[in-house]
Amino acid sequence: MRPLHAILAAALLGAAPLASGAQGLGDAAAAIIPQYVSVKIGSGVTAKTVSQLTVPFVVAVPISSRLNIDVATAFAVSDVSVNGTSASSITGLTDTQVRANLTLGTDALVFTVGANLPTGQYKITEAKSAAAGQIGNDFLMFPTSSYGAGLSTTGGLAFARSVGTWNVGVAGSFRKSTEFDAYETQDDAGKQTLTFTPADEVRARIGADRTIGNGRLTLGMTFSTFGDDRLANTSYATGDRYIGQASLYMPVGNTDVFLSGWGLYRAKGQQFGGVAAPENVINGALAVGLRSGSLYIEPNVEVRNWQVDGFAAGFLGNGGVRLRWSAGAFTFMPSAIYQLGTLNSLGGGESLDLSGWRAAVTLRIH
Amino acid sequence: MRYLRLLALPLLCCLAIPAPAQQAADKTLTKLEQVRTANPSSVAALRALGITYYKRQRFADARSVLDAARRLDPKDGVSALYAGLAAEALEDYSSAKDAYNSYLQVGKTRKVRDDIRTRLVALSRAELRAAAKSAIVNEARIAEQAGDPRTVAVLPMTFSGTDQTLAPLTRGLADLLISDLARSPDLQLLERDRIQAMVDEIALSQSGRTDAATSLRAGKLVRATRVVQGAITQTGSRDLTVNAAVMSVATSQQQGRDVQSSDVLEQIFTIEKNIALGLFDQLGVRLSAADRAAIEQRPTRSLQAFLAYSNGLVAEDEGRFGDAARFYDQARSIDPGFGAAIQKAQSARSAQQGAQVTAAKVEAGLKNSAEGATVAAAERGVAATTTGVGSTLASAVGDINPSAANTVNTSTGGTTGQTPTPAPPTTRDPAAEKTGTDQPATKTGQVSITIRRP
Repeated sequence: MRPLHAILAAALLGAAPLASGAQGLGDAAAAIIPQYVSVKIGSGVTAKTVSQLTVPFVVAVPISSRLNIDVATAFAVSDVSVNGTSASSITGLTDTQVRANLTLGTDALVFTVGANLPTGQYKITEAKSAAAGQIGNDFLMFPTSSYGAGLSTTGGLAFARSVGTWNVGVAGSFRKSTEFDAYETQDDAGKQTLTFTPADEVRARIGADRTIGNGRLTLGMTFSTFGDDRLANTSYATGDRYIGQASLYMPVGNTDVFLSGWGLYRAKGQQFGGVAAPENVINGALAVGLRSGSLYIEPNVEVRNWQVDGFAAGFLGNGGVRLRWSAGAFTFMPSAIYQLGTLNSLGGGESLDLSGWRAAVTLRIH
Repeated sequence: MRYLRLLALPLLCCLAIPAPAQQAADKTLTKLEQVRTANPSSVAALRALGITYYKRQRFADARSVLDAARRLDPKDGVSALYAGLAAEALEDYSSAKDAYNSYLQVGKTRKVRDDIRTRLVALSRAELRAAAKSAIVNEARIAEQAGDPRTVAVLPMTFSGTDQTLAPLTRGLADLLISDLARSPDLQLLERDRIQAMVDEIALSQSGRTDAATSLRAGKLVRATRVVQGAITQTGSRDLTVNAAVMSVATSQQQGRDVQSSDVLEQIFTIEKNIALGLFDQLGVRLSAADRAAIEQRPTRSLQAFLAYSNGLVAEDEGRFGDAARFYDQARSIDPGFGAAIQKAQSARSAQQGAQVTAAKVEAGLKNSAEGATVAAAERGVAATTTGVGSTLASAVGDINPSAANTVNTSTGGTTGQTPTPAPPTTRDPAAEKTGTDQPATKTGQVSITIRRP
């Protein structure tokens, strides 16, 4: 953990000032936003702490008014420790996503293509597998959820138009994945490499948004269906995923109110060793933005519930504050969140305490 | 007098205390200015402030912040629309046209797009007038600039005769000459509308007086190197003589000799062709056989249709677009093959409709639309985050083709500067999912074995 803290301090102090104005894909921009997450599961000598420091790098380049390209990767340090002693850790670059969006017509149709380049960590050894795997959990939601998923390409189309006071968008994509060396094991015969081929994926989304009074309501539903994942020579069916999202932004006087929720349902699938039971993660959040001169203060709370096969698997409550302070061309945005909850062991029904914190710092140059 | 004093007191009180509506408007503006200060790169904040400045008739301020919003997000239709309205109010017509054309590309409200299309026609005429005014103001500077040597301006002709119904031929013949001379690639003919706007502006600056020097001055101001002057003289009840000459703008001297053609009124097109061919000689242009054949083509063979067409040009020059459209229709009904009349009738109608499309009418077109809701929010002091389908599309693309760039964009507030809402995981780690290593309740532990010494 000590090296992690040292890197955290260096990253927070050193990397943030390197950031330059990330203003969305419409402008050439680069951004570096260090984030740190630490979650303690259980208590006493068996307490497990999963922590991650990640520094995403993003460069977005508008080639023309119709064509945007962005490149994103991250450097992440993930660690799983037991009772303060590191049990598994993994450090390095993640995969790199390159994406190009071409807008056709009067901002009504976007053709998007992307590639996941395997610049991340592969041939994960047993010593690293816990740290590499724990960050992928959909309930705990680490900023970097995967160190490597192999070369894949995605192509998709998105269409949107106004229907009365609503804006409605529909989109679909197809992702083709290729085999990669996922794990490296050591046995009597020597080192063995376990290959993995992620399932091809078809994804569809429908979304709508509109103004309501002074505010804005946004709704969205995403559906993903997959072929079979292949681990070594065995195929495993993967459950379809459904994501529903809703958010409401409403200014009340001099205060901004943000209310949002999402739900992720993964249908029953198969995994190594048996059935992957269906799971459901539901999240609700409330944030209140207050202005005080050039300082914007935003206290926020978030609750998340996790069910596996209809049984309560975890509950998490987040409370934190986010600040935004602007001075001339600079906007500085630090945030800190404390997490508290419970986690139910899927095997024995044991309930574990969950606590942790998240911190991020962003510097924007306009 | 006593009653007057009694009345004056409450009146003074009313003037001294700002009306509640005024106070509310000031508060709205102050609030939006604070939002802009806190989020200088927020398109929503800049757009809302620009709209509010526009509503308060602070057009220069409105244009400044709306242009900033457009630079940040060129696809923001409402910013483009109000930047156009503000520029138009400032009589910067070329900027207004640029902003309106942007709105036609990215704006989402069909009714407003339709209004803007017709408004653009009227705006072109206003732009010509503004350009003429500006040229007169900057006459000394323009005189120092050398124009393209190929540029030729054909000025409206003069008419002398007893039958004033023939006077509109001054515009009609000039129009025909421009069409014919433009067939040569060696010449660059200036548009009739532009020249007419300049002549009108000069006449206005000279209290309606025009003289021989006017045409040369007009030529100089439109940056022509040569001007064609002409005169129509009615020499009998049905006889006409047309004279034309080419003048050098730089030297104010005639280039070559006079060109003259006379005939009966019914042969007006023959007269015009003779003049055109003569002018080519004076302008030093050699015509190919094909060019010559093209010039011999006549837009109509009907004198009456041409007279109606010429009347239409006069009406159009005077801004009477309804009358102009009727004259062009008359020309078309006399000669259904008169293509220029058909085109001009459409243009005059668009100009007539465009003149009726006021800024208030454009704004009214936003009613009951998503863009209108954004404007209404700005009037209430709210910087609404989105106006069109741009953010709807961005969300869709971010979801179907996810990348770590999504996270960073939302973390920084993207172009809105607004706080992101928590987003669900859009990608999975398939290997961890398959092996079950993503389960947090899975215990990862260390076993310490202490073997005591015997």
